[in-house]
Amino acid sequence: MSTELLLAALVLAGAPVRADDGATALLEEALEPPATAYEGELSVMTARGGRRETRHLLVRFSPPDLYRRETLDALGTAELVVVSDGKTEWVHDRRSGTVWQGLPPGREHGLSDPDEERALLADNYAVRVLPDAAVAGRPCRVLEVAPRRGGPVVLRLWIDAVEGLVLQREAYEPDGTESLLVRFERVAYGAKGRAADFRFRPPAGARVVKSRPAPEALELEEAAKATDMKPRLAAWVPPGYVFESVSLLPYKGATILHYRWSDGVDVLSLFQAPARARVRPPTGGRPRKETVAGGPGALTVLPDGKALEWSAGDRFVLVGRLGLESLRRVAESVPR
Amino acid sequence: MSCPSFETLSAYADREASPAETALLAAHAPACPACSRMLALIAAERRSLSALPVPSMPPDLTASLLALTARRPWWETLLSELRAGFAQPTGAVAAAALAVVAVLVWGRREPPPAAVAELEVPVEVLMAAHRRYALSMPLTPPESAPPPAQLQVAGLAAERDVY
Repeated sequence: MSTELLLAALVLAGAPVRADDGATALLEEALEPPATAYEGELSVMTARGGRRETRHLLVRFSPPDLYRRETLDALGTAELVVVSDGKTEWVHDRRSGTVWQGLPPGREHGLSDPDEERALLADNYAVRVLPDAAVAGRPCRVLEVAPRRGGPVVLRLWIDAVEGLVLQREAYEPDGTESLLVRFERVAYGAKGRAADFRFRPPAGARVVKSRPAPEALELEEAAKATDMKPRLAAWVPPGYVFESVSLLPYKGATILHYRWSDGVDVLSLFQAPARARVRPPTGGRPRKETVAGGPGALTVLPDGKALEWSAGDRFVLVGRLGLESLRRVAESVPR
Repeated sequence: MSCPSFETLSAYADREASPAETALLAAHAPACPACSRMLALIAAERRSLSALPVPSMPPDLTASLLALTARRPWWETLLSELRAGFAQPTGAVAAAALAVVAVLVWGRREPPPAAVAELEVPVEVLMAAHRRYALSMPLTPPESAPPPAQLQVAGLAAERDVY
């Protein structure tokens, strides 16, 4: 989508954004892949399930799609290396001696094209420009993304004023607590790196696992033909969420249906498994008993969100970052 | 902060220190030459140990263990009992009668109903599929993906192995 179209969408949706403050153009810039080679050092703070963890990464990128990321351990040695030459992505976990070989992640999930997803983002979220700030010694323009329907800010982006690279991102939970902080501690542009930086050969003795291809996004009718179950889609999802697609998740000879909704920033998943399925809670975790549509259910709070499980003939699990009452309302809208 | 004990430093290097110790050491070690040197020594030792050759097992170990644990099939046991019984005629008659009764009883049994095996799905499998979808959102940074090791801890081969 062009900047003009996105701008028009924002204006039509009544965004509290002045047409001349550059917020939309800046967001467009943040959504584009970087055009300049860079290398640097990143810190990634995640707050998962109340626990904060910080990882440090060395990153190197060369346009259009070559990258290398090394996650460092406490002693500063790379414990996880992710390398892509644009065709194959290798993930080498040095601790376990395992290498995963697969395709570089792409926009593989939805049936919507990138323009539609950006329009969805513009429909549901308002962007505004905050005062400039510096990150890693670089002048940055700062963007704030908040739901139009109200509620706390979901995202803040610090975008290099010259190169357009996002140098810092802060993401927030629906209750306003910070969930993710990705920040460049150091960045240098123009360093294209050696070709060898973006090539990978599994070391001798490593266990190489070929990743399964990404699941194909299907229409509901296609999914219905691929399984014995009758697909049952939630009739209600929170305002702003749009059904994107369904995919088949094969697991131990069975097929689980995975329905997906997005509001442009956040996502919601509903899994429908055969009636004989039982969901095993996470190691050391204990689900909380909940009532769903008058029947027994269980809620597990996980680092990446909540999982609400119940049975309605088939086994259902709803995963998302929504509040419990919204999750319950979605669950109770699944036809019985 | 005074320098921690060797045990604490070793636990820190192995990522087994408590969160409080980890936080203190992460702040202290980089600025302390003694602790930095000790951490470097621990790392060097760890590298040396991991470079040592893995001792190989005796080639006949598997066969020996299997022989030790091998169980005789029931029919082999029955035949040997019968053979032993023929040496003592009374025992042979009793054994034969038992075998006939067993066959008759076994033959009259109803076939067991076809059981529907329960399918146990770890919640992490579903979370991994959900996370992979979340990572495809335009504003989600790829660096936010958890390391595969976290999923190995959860008992899965890897997030990438799930799909």
